[in-house]
Amino acid sequence: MHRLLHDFIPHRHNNHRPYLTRHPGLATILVFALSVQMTLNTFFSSSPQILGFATNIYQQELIELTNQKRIENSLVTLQHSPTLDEAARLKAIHMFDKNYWAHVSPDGVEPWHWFGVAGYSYISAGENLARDFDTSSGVVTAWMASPTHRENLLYPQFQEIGMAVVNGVLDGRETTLVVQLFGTPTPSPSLALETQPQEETVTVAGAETGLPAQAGPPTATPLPTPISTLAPTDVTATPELVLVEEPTATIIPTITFVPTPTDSVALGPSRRTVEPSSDLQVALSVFSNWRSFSISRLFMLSLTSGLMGLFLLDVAVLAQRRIKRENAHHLVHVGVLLIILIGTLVNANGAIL
Amino acid sequence: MRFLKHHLFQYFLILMVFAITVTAVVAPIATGPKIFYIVIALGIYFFWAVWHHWEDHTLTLATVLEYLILTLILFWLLINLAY
Repeated sequence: MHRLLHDFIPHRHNNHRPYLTRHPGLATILVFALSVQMTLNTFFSSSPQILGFATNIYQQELIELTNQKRIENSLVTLQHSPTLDEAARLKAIHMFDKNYWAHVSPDGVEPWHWFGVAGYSYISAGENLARDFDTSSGVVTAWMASPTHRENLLYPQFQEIGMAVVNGVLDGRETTLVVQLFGTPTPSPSLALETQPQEETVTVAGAETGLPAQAGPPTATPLPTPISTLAPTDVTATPELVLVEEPTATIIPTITFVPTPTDSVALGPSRRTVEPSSDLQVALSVFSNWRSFSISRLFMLSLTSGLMGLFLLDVAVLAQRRIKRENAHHLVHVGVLLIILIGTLVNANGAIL
Repeated sequence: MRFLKHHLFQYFLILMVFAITVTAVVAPIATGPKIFYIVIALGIYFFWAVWHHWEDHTLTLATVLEYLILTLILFWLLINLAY
């Protein structure tokens, strides 16, 4: 108790100056902070850095959290597709290479292009993007807070998922990009014989969920009647016959979207309609789940709050006892730390698209 | 309270410096300029503190060391914020 008094509270035994607010005490705090951060970066980070926070975002964890949300909403879970992983990775690398943060690149490359490059043929597809988050949980929480992204996560027709978490430099900043792709693969040739051609659906960032497209997969020019060479009753035809009609051309499709009456949105970030409150909801979503904060950020918040509390306690006790101390202006330190604390909280969330 | 009133303007100025710096640090700009702003702000903070105590005739080696270490702690916090 006496030690506590000596370290934290101004008292006549410490000449009304707690040990931790003196330079040896502050040096101890600094060494402690640096040691803890080095330990955290070494053991709890996927991409340790010398300074600053490292990200704690993991591909498998993102998939599990996405499936968890689908289970909570009574939907089937998504199967992990390595092909979609590759498409997502290509998209992320392209964003870093061309230095853009958008669904459609400045030179007009659409998300669906990467599905084709990776060799994924689909009848419906979607894309969610995120950047600058600390944790996997923070990413999924933010997506769920955005009505448009949430629609993608909970779109019943999607069957497969692919993810990429890629570090790089975007706009001069070290950034972790997360690309999440959804897809419903085209039926196998044998199934294609038994089913009618389906209307294709492409979605971006949840905003376009349910928008039927008239065009085909990115690697192909879909034909109006994909099995037109087969007689309608020829259900015993061999799969090879179908493959004749399987689009293999490398023409990049012009995707035309025909919104359903319930959709008030159009494709593309620039034309996306977002609920007015969604940006604020996304920004605040990090506070709804403490797991959205990385351990490093929680430590930083704790240390800033602790230091602020220490100086505030000092000021309050001295004021209450009406003791004037001339060589320490801890009220300024409280103010500075408060500004940093607010900055840390504001900066706790990343951006989604 | 009289002491506080006497130094209020100086306190306000240093808090404004940090408010602007933190705003720049959390803004979506390149990391290089952020580090530059941090170094400038902490330089202002340190020299403001030394000058402030010199003006009050309370400047000692212990005070300089105290502000030096506080500056390093703030540097660590702001750099973490910048990344």
